[in-house]
Amino acid sequence: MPPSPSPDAVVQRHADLVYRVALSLLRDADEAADAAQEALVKVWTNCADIPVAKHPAWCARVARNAALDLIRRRNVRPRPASEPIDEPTCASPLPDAGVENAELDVEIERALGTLDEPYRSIVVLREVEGMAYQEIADALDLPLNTMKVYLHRAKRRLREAIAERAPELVP
Amino acid sequence: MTCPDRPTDLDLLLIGAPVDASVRDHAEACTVCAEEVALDAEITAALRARRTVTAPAGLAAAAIAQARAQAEAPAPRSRRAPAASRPAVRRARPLYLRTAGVALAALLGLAMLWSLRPDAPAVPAGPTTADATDRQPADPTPEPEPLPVAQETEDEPDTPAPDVTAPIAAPPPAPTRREAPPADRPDPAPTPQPEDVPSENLAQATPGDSPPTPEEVAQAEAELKLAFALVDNAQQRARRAVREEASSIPTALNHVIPFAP
Repeated sequence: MPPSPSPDAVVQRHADLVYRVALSLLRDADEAADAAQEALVKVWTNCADIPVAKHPAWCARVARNAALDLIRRRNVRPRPASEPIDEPTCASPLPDAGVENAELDVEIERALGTLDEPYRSIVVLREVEGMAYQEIADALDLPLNTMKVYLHRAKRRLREAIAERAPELVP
Repeated sequence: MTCPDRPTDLDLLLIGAPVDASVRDHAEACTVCAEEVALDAEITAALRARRTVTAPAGLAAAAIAQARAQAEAPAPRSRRAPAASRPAVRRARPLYLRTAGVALAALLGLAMLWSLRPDAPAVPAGPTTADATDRQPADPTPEPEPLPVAQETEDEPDTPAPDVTAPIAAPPPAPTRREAPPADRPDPAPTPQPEDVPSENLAQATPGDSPPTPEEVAQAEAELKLAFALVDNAQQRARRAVREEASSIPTALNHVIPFAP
């Protein structure tokens, strides 16, 4: 049995994941950093009680709860989907990616903003973080089949929103 | 945009669920489905590219520092101690004592319920001290009154016994608690209702005072919200300051101790 990592190592390893989950919900870099910091404090405190294999799903859950809690507590609404997000969403665009790729990115961000919870979290955890279905179901406390239905509904809504707003981007 | 022929099969295909080979064939042959599959691939690729977003520098260090500070800070006194840290003596209380306590509490509760039920018959109250003295003349064989000490020592055979048959005016018995008032009794004065009784605040209020208007209430709520917002803002600034400080430490170290190849 491998030794469990120290709390510092767990926080360092999952800080990016926690920040991305918070950013996808709050759509503001400063707010996301605040929520991520709160979540990482909880991760540091309680990670010894969680099996190592479940750390990513659990961290995502903690981050999502912290972000939703911040929204409730400060009565701040997530940014409207029309506003661009502060953080650069794609740090290294593909070499042949041009204006069209940036437009698609903006449209995806806008379409993501129209998704309600838990659809947005499901898409983020699946497509951005690459989590397995069971991990997502555990993180969001949903039955596995329900999560799958939500996922394909969310992806269909994304496609419909992009095709409706920017039909020129549809290949 | 969804293909009318296979509206749900394509969704299953796109989330990676196992589907028939005919679905794949249809997705390749159908124009609508092919467009949808291509768009889904582009969306997936764009979302995968977001995995490169990283947390701000110093976020993890600030969180670790905050967690350590919270772990080292003493717990507030008002917080309830967890069960594991409470003394074991209280938990090792014998079972029969707990059972007896619960049974006694249940008995007391039942007794209170029984005495307070509204349809209970008027139970003749036990002879209180006042009742006993009031009803004493009705007793056919009353005890003689004790003699003074001086008379007890003397032998007085000719002293007549006290006349126990003489009528003594007995006062009317005290009314019991549940006794109904007689019909010819005039109605008692109306009980003052709560809205009739002026409260202390109203009594102390000067004539110029008036209850708060909705504007005042709204202003108070706005001030409260402002206070909460200020507190949140202060917390946010403190967190950012910690993050900035944590992120500046490696930079300062790099300046002081340059890396020597």
